[in-house]
Amino acid sequence: MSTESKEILVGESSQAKPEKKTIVLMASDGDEFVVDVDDITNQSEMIRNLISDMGGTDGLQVPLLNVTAPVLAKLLELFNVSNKNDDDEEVTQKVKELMEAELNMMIDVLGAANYIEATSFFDLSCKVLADKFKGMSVEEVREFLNIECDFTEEELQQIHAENAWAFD
Amino acid sequence: MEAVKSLDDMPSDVVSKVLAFTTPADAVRSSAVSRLFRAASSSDELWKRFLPSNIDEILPRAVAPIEFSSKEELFFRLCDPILIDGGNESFALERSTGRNCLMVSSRDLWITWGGDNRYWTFTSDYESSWRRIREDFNPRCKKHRLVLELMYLKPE
Repeated sequence: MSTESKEILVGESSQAKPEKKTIVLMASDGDEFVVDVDDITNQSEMIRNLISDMGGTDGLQVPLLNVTAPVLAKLLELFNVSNKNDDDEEVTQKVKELMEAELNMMIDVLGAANYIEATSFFDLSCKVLADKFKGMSVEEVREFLNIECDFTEEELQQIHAENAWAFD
Repeated sequence: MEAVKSLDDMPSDVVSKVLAFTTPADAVRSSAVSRLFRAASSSDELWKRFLPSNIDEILPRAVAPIEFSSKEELFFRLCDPILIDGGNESFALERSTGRNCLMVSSRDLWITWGGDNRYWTFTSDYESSWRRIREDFNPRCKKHRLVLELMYLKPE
């Protein structure tokens, strides 16, 4: 992975408007992403608080130790969709498509959104996942989310017995 | 090839947040998915979402104090109707969905000709949680009878 800066275009073009303030987000593997301050603070409470604590954005570099470059690129791409649309319809659709195509990536993006406290995007992504497995049986949930059952047969029987109404 | 990931690699509070967008039945069922899901499915934050938003106003209105040690316990405690407002109303939650169910005493209802003894009278019914219920004499009042039947509570 190269370490050169990547320009994330926001709106029409952030290069055409040099007066726009930017900061640099650093992925865990060292890749740098230049992002528009308004667009990222619109989404991330963590970065909003950081900028307010630092008293400005000049030369600000934010290392995101838990987020790899591909995940950060995908998250920023989805933020762009969210920032460009007044309602959540478009971004919900994109998150849904990501879940169907690359569930692993979607779950990483969910974790990253949680990490940088992108609350409304995180909630929206949680809802997309929840809508998918609402009404699923236990086995279907395990299969869909690729989860191994780590209960003993006895424990499972007890859980079923205690909550029989929910398993009918 | 990166390792296969799943929601099971997430912190339990992330799973709780996902479950909060499902239903109480889904949340309870998910306690059988894995240990992480079981922990996530009993969190206070999750069950707070399934409780009515005005729960703090409802509880002080209970005739008998409601005791609970977790939000999940409170939820299931409220699935059995509780009497509120001096016993004139009862409140319950529907287990699978968390929907509210409010039952009103016939004393508190305004009923057409309700005060006219030719049509309605108060009688006692041991199957009702309220000692007295209204009963109609008039076959044309079937509609009202149906309304009243909603107010019956199942005996213990």
